[in-house]
This record gives sequence, structure tokens and C-alpha cells, in this order.
Amino acid sequence: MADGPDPIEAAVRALRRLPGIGEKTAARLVYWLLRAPDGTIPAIVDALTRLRAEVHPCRVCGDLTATNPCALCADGRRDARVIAVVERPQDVRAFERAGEFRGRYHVLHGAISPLDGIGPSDLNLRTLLDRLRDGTVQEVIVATDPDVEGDATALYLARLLADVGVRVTRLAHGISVGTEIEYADAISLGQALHHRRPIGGDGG
Amino acid sequence: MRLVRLRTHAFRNLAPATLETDARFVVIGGPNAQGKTNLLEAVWILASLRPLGSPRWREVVRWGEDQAVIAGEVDHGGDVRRLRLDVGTGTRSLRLDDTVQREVGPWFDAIRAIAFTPSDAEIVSDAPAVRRRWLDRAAFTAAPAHLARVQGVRRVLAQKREALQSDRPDPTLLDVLDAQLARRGAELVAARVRTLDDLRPHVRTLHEGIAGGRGALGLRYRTAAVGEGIQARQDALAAALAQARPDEVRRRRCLVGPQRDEVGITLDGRAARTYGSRGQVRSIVLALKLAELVAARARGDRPLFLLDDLSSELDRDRTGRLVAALVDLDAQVWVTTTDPAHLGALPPGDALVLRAEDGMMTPQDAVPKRIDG
Ligand SMILES: Nc1ncnc2c1ncn2[C@@H]1O[C@H](COP(=O)(O)OP(=O)(O)O)[C@@H](O)[C@H]1O
Ligand SMILES: [Mg+2]
Ligand SMILES: [Zn+2]
Repeated sequence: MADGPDPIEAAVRALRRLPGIGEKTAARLVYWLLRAPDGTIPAIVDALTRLRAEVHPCRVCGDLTATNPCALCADGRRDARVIAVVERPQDVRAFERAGEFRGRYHVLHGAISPLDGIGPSDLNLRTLLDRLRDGTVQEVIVATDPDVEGDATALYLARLLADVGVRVTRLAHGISVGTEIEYADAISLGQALHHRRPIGGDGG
Repeated sequence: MRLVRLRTHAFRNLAPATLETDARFVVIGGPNAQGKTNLLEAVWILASLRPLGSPRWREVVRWGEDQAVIAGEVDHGGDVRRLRLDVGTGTRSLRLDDTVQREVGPWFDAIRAIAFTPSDAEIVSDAPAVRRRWLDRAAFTAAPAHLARVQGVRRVLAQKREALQSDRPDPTLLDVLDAQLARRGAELVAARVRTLDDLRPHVRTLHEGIAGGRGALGLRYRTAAVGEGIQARQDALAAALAQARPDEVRRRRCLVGPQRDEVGITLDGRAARTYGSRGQVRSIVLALKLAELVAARARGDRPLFLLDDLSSELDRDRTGRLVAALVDLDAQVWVTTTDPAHLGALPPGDALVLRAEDGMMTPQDAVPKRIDG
């Protein structure tokens, strides 16, 4: 017999570390994998290994990607005059699914939250300022979540960009309170984009 | 809305059971420490998703078990909603019409309640926080969306407190958080004031009537967010926050905001909190709670009305008057009492009397059940 923990146990424990996966689901996946067609496990292992080796933040927008700059930043047909600022890479996917937005993105990788030890300097803000320097960008749409942290981040950005000479707007939220953008359906995101409004000093 | 069926499992000392409760009045009688309040609490938890009073969640799970269930069926004029709450160690899950719920909004369309318990005297007698909590709950009962306002302000305050803890807080960060506090705070205050305005006339009438109180009852909301309309309140709050900033930074505390507001309750112009006798306090609290029910009715809403330990709270006369008034109000009423006879006349054919004994509820035949369907 091999040394070390039981391989089934070890696999269940490894899978349980994934978000949203509990003991039961992990066990179900492991037993499914044990009977899966040849090549299934190597394909998964290979995909996961490549994830780690090949994916990096885009040097322009911060989105996670295997090419640098990412495909969206490299696509000359996208409107370079508008940037949508989002909290996380998943939000870029959500916007692309909605298909309404033809501009470019910027991923902050978080939102201001002193409770989580995240201040403005922990966000991907410096490269955003770099992108605004040459005067091409005319509008920044702040598409952070409609919660306290997202609102605080939006307002902070509005102050930061006040002297840069771009229009700063915020998504109009048809999105219900407590719903993260990632989960918002395509239609409401489209509407939110359509009804965006300028950010004043009114708390976002 | 009427809770027509209630099932509990491993909840406090209640024996696992399903009770048929399709009656306008559900009276839970029996000696002390048998589980009367526990049954009422099960209803309250189903309707509010909070324990009664402020115990911890794990206290409601039967000792030695790790998962309690409260389930019920609520009849909305023929449309029956099925609710099920599972309470585990540190976890709670909701199922509405057999579908797992991620948000509480739809749940509170299906059930809501107003409760009156002996400890509610604290609404008048205790610190301002208790009155704010009462007012927020009343606003929530009127419109569940109020919950988002309360949680939003609480979250901003938590963030701001944390930001104030650092040695040299980023002034722009504080500006941004204060702007949030001003906007969300103004909305919260406006909703609280609106709720109080809605309740005030009912509170006065009920206080002099059913509650048997004397003297002119005053209700006033005191806040730094003064003004006509939300924008004016927001501006006032923003100004107050700006002025308090140096103090807040020095003391590392939040000194201004809706968390400092007060709901002033006066009798003939004097603070009921300081000068009210026990009897006066009871009349005021009863008037506050009944006013919520009357205001709900005016909106076409029929939340459940839950009364705990009625006999210990009111004399026979007032109890009789209260029950008569509740019959007119057409809400489903749940009452616990050591002495059901104390209640006086219950609606004939539409009252269910349960006798609690060691966690078991036995329907009593004393009051005949409706037979005409
Ligand atoms: N989590 C629990 N598990 C088992 N028994 C409990 C639990 N919590 C309270 N009890 C018991 O419930 C009884 C009190 O019931 P309660 O409903 O307050 O009585 P009353 O009929 O006087 O209103 C006490 O005997 C107490 O020990
Ligand atoms: Mg009791
Ligand atoms: Zn990019």
C-alpha cells in the first residue's frame, strides 16, 4: 500500500477548497471522476496547470488573460474613448455577455473596504490614470457593485478624476440591492448602461 | 394573511408536531414553563427571521440537537404559500414554496408579524437604540425594503469606524464615506420620519382608547438630518458631518449620523422614559404596537399580531377591550396566557385554544371549532 493519505480522501479534501463546494458535492465529483472516460482527468489537470502558468493580468486593463495585452485591449474596433471600470474580471465577462458595450474595460481587482483592509492604494488605479493621460478617453463609466463598497469606490474615482478632464458616470441601477454585477442578467445590465448618470458629490 | 399550519422540529422544548391553526384567534394556554412563548416565538421567527427578544440563534435549537425546523403555510385569501426555515449551527436556510431562497424579499411578501411581549416596555424605558430599532422594525413591517436602508447605513458606519481606527486616516476616503453616510442616512431618516408620521394619529387614538392611557402622547423624531425632503436632509447631515470631522478623527469614533438619533416619546410634554410609571409605559407600548396593526390595515395589509403573556400585562378590563378591538381589526391573532378565561369573549367558531404541556400542544374542545366550513 502507498504511503500518505487515502487518495480518495485527498481528492475530496482538495476539491472542498473550491468556493461553493461542500463535502457532499466534492465526494460526488470524485466518484464521478473515478469512472470518467479515459483522458478526462489529464485534460482537467492540463487545463488547470495552464491556468496558473499562462494567465496574467493584462498590462493595460488588468483583466486576467493569456495574451498581453488582452484580446479586448488589442481589438482596434472597440471604442477607445470609453472605459468601463469594474471590480473583477468576471464583471468583464458579464458585460460582454450583455453585448451592449463597445468600449474598453479596466479591472480594479477589488473595491474600497477598510473592513477588509482594502484602501485606494490596493486597487489597480495607477494604470487607469496612465490610460487617461493622452486625452483619447472621454468617458469613464464606473460599473462597480451597487453596494456600500462599490459606491465608495465610485465616488473616490470621481474625486480622483475630477481634474483629468473626462466625464465620469455611474451605472444606473435597475440592479437590485445586494446583487453583484456578476449575477445581474444581461437585460438589466444593458438598461443600467443605457441610464448611466454623472457622479456628483452625493454619495454615489 | 393567516398562518393555517405550523410545524416545528427540534425547536426549543416543543414536541415535533404539525398544528392546524386555521382560526382568527389562536390562544395558547397552560401553566408556566410549558412552551407557550416558545410556540409564539416559532411564529415570530417564521415571520421576521429573528429570534424573539435578542437571544442567539443556537439557543432556539433544542438542546442536544443541531438542526431545528420551523415550517408553515400562510393563506392569502386562497393563495397558500409554503414556508420553511432550517436553523443549524451558524447556518440558516429558507425555502419558499419548496424553492431555496437567496434573498429575503419574496419571503416577507408571504409573511409578516407584529409582536407585543412583556419585554417591549424597554421601547419606552431603555436607551434610544431600542426606540430606533422599534421604529426600523415598524418601517420594515410597512415596507420590507426598509431593511436595505438599515443595512446600508450600518455597513457605511462599520467601514467608517474602521477607517477612523488608522493612525492617519485618508481624508478623501473619509469624505467618500461621509458622502455615503449623508445620502444613505438621509434616506433612512426620511423613511423613519414617514413611518412615525403614519403611526402618530393611530397611536394617539389607541392610547386614549383601548390602551386606557391618560394624557397627551407626543412622538417626535430628533436628528441632525433636518429639512424638508431627502436632499435637504442630506445637505444638513453632510454639513454636520463636515463640522464633526476633526472631533471624529481625534476620538476615532463616529459622532454624527442616524445612529445617534432619538425617537422622543412624551406624556403631557414630559419624557415618558424618565417619568412614566409602569402602567403608563405599558399603555404607550400597547398603543405603539396596535398602531402598527391599524396602519397596516389602512394600507390593506394584514400582518399577524402576536401577544405574549397577556394576562401578566393587562388587567381583565383592558384585556377584554383589547380582544374586542382585535376581533374588529381582522388580523390573525396569536395569544399566550396562563388563563384563557381572562381574554373574555373570543370570536365564536373562529378561535382555537391550545393547551401547552411540557412542549406538547393539545387543542381544547372548550371553544367549538367552526363547522360550517
Ligand atoms: N433550546 C431549548 N431546548 C429545550 N428546551 C428549551 C430550550 N429553550 C427553552 N427551553 C425550555 O422551554 C421552557 C420555557 O418555555 P416557555 O415557552 O418560555 O414557557 P411558557 O409556557 O411559560 O411561555 C423551559 O422549560 C426551558 O427550559
Ligand atoms: Mg411565556
Ligand atoms: Zn486588457
